Amino acid sequence: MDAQVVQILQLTLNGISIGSIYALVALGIVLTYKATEVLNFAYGDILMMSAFIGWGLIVVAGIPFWPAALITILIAAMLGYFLDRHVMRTIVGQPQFAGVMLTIALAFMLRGLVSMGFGPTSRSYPTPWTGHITHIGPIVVTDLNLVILAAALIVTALLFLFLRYTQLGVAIQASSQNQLAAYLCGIRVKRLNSFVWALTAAMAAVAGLLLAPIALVDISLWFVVLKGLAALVLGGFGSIPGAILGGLLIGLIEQFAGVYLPDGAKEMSAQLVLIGVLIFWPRGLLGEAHGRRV
Amino acid sequence: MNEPKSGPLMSIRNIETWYGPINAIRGVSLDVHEGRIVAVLGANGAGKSTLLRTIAGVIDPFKGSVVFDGQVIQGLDPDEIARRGVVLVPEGRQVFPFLTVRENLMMGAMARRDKAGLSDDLEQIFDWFPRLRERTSQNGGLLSGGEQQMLAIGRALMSRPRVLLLDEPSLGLSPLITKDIFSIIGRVNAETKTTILVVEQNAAIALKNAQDAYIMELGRIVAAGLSEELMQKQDVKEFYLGTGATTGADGRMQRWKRRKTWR
Ligand SMILES: Nc1ncnc2c1ncn2[C@@H]1O[C@H](COP(=O)(O)OP(=O)(O)OP(=O)(O)O)[C@@H](O)[C@H]1O
Ligand SMILES: [Mg+2]
Repeated sequence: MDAQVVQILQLTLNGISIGSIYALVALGIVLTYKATEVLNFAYGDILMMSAFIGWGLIVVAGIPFWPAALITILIAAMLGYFLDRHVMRTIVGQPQFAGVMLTIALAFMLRGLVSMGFGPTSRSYPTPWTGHITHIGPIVVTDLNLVILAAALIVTALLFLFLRYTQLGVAIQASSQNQLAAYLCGIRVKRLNSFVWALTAAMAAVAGLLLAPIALVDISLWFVVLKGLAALVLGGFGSIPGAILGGLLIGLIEQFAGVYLPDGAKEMSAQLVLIGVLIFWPRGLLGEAHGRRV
Repeated sequence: MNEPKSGPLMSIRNIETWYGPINAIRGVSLDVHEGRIVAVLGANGAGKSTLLRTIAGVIDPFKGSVVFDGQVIQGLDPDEIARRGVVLVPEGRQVFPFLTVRENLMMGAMARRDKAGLSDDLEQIFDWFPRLRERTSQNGGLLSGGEQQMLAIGRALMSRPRVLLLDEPSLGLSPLITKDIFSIIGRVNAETKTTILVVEQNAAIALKNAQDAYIMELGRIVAAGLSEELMQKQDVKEFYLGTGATTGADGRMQRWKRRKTWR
């Protein structure tokens, strides 16, 4: 096969794989936003912290990958619950920007804590798939990339089933559609919000545990929140399918920009897309037509 | 209709509620007796919605108490008050727009402890509101205004409330649908003994369907009594029912000539 075509296929696969992590991040942010009306800027730092926790458990404590991953996810969920229960809940009823400010402050605190606890060096940990590759026709993929894709698919599917078919999931939808009516139905909205923080923090942990082996366990992992936001804007803010689509596209755009555009374009591409979409196409790909105008 | 003998199921004492600097309720007391339909009437801005929001815990009163079934409930979260059986259907058709009619109704059941008989209750709701039965899998947001109001009331009824608080169920509905809704409110009250506190602009239909009534003006209760008695009062007829007004020599209404006796 033509080398050019092989390269395109290769980049597409890598793009979708990294994009599925962005999609997970975007999904977590949009779910928190819809349910609790807070844009969680600390999301990337929860993800980054999870990667460090995973590293600590696997490398320092010597726990095998699977139990370590599970424990990390549980710790992240508890952290998310705690942050909502004891920090975010205290400002319920204040204007929306107060929530945004508070999550930015939390982001810096988490980042500071990680840097105090672990220092500035980057680290890495082994996974069951590290170093393995699979041939799909002429393309070579690392098993890690396939696992990332599969994990993102599974998490997304579980999330969908949960929101659609469980009473708790429908209650989360209800509360995100009309919070006052949810309260009046006797839905424990505050507790539900904390649960959503726990759930999305667990998703962040999954994303962090998957991202760290292909990046590094490093403070700068929090940057991924910016990719997630770009994905949300591209997909149409507030749309759950849009978050997934946007994430995948941002992943693809980055991969292709890295090869076909000048140096530095890869790093900027997500933010360029964000700015471009906001200016020329604010509704995004799957934005809600009936969204608020002002 | 006789005066009830036992103590009230819900009693509100000297409630004062503020929105920032605005004093919306200025010391309201009222009693709601078990099994009755109680109407609260008043002009725009009288504080009727605020009164219901205060009872339901959506907004906390600055002063005063709300005692329901022997327990103080003011200051509790609205979800907790709903779980205790005081359920508000707020102004303006608050449905879950992207949930189906059935899902909307099932959300109403979140407040109840005893989950037995859910499907019977659903059937009962559909008997009261046959229009909803035809649209069980349609999204709430796609219903007409009247149907959304029915859905909101039906959802509240799914929680088997002990006191149902209705805020202007007739708002924006045609006279026919309004009549429908009030006749269902009457049936619900008769068939399930649910106590109902209903706020209305449409005084005629509210007085006709309620047993007790209160009239609110500028955040205060200015008249109270059995609705039959209130209906006969000259000033109520004039200012709320729009009948029996004194007319001047030129045949025009001369409301300004009459003073409201309760002032
Ligand atoms: N959210 C709010 N913020 C500030 N003031 C408010 C708010 N809601 C109501 N008010 C004020 O409180 C007073 C009572 O309002 P309320 O909504 O209780 O009246 P209402 O009797 O229900 O009127 P309507 O029949 O028009 O629904 C009004 O003067 C109104 O301007
Ligand atoms: Mg009102």
